[in-house]
Amino acid sequence: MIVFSYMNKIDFNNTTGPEQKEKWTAFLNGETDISDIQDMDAKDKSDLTSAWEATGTAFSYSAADPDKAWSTLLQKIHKPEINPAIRFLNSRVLQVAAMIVIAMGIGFSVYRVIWISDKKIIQPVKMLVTQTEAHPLNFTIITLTDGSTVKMNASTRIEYPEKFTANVRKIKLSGEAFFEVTRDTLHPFIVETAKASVEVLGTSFNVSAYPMATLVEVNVRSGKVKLTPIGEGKSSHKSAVLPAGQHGWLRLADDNLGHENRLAPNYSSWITKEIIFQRTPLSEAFSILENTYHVKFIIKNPEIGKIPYTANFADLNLDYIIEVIARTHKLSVTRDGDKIIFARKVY
Amino acid sequence: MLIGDDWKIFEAVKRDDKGAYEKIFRGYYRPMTAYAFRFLGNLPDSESIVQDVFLRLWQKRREIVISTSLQNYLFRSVKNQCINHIEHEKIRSGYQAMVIMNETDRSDYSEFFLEFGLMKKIEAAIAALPPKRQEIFRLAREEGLKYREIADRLELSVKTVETQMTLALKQLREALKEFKNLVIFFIGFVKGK
Repeated sequence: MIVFSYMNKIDFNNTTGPEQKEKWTAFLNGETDISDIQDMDAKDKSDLTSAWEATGTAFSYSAADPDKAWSTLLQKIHKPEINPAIRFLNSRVLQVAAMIVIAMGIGFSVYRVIWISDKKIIQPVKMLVTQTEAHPLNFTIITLTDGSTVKMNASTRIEYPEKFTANVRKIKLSGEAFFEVTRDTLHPFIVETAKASVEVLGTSFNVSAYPMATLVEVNVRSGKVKLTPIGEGKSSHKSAVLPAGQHGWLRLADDNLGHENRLAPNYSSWITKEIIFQRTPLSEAFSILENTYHVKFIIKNPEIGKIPYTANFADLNLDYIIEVIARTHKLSVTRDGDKIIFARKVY
Repeated sequence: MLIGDDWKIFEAVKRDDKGAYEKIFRGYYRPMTAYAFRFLGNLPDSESIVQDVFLRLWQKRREIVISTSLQNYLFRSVKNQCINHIEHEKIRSGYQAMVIMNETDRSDYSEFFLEFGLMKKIEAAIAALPPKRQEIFRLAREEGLKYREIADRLELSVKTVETQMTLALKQLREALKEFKNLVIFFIGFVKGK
């Protein structure tokens, strides 16, 4: 093949003129055909070619966006699931009930009514569901139609409309996620968990609301967030407005709202893998590591949990961290699957 | 991850392990996109081809039989899709014809697993080009524009674009001379976050 000839051509005197180089450059850019170039030094050709190819590789390698591609891929793989509540409404009898609900203005985010000839048809806005695994290698990012992004921690489920069409942008969360919300003052963004609702206009914040937890926690990085308890028999007048830099929580046992004027240490460690312990009791340090690395720590001797621990870890692997903790406090550590067991050393 | 472990992780995918699937995706997405870019010179098309290959890998996971290695399988799928795409577009440049020929018997894909240090060096070399030359070069290399389009956009003559492009490539090659062959080594999976 003529196309290979430049590779093998032996060059005796490097005499390629600028004209040939220009032609070869143009060839690389798809401007001219190979037959236009003759008498060109093989080394010059391969030099220009490797500079062209390496710059293309570097550009496409760094500009490729795996996070975005992964979330698109997940959406293609999970066939859009329809909210069970909507599926249930498919029964003809219940359509009437649905109409009443709409009249009351409650179902606004879920239903759209369209008229086809004489028949009323309720067309639900498709709800998409994303559920992350218990032991993910990485967090999952979802981009919503308004451009807002949701980074999801392990064992987290979010439910969101395929398209935001209602007056509010509402999504449901169980688990933990960090939100970066596109500002839109006309359409408040609401994150609803089982026990609380978190409302914002445009901001970034972390919500932790795992089903077994005793608190719903919110850390506000920018903007302002309103945290409100919800559920049966809850009066909605109680809520807390949290400005940037605050850590707020709802204690589920007594519906008590609390806050402190700082972000919870390590609230975003599950995203950044940066962890700072400052005289942190080991029991607390372990629960932060559990949330970051999706493993389970077991303390054999209760007093171990009270040991204050100070260290900074940035993007390190868990084995290393465990090793450091065990050495510092002369503890024995064993692993059993995803369980990490700390005990006093027996001499 | 070593290539030798490829089949193990793909066995897990066959058992519907989405974690294993994501691991493959994270490890190969950028290199595969860079490989597609070699053929197409266009990022959106390259990313969409890689997306298709991964979608198919999941959908057909039970039927797919990998005879060599997963890496080979994935890169060959990218290559075939790219060739289909080029044929479908019906416009094939001489350079694309050359790339297709050169790629018929490739078995080493290490140059697409770009090492971080080298990537930064290449980016720095481009950033060191004089501003106008750099702009012209980026439009051609990153946006895939033809000389005529660049000339129109920047209100220059095609001749100027031609000259600047050649100077850019010579300067880049000079800056990257220490990298013999500009071949990059396989460093394994991007460190898991």
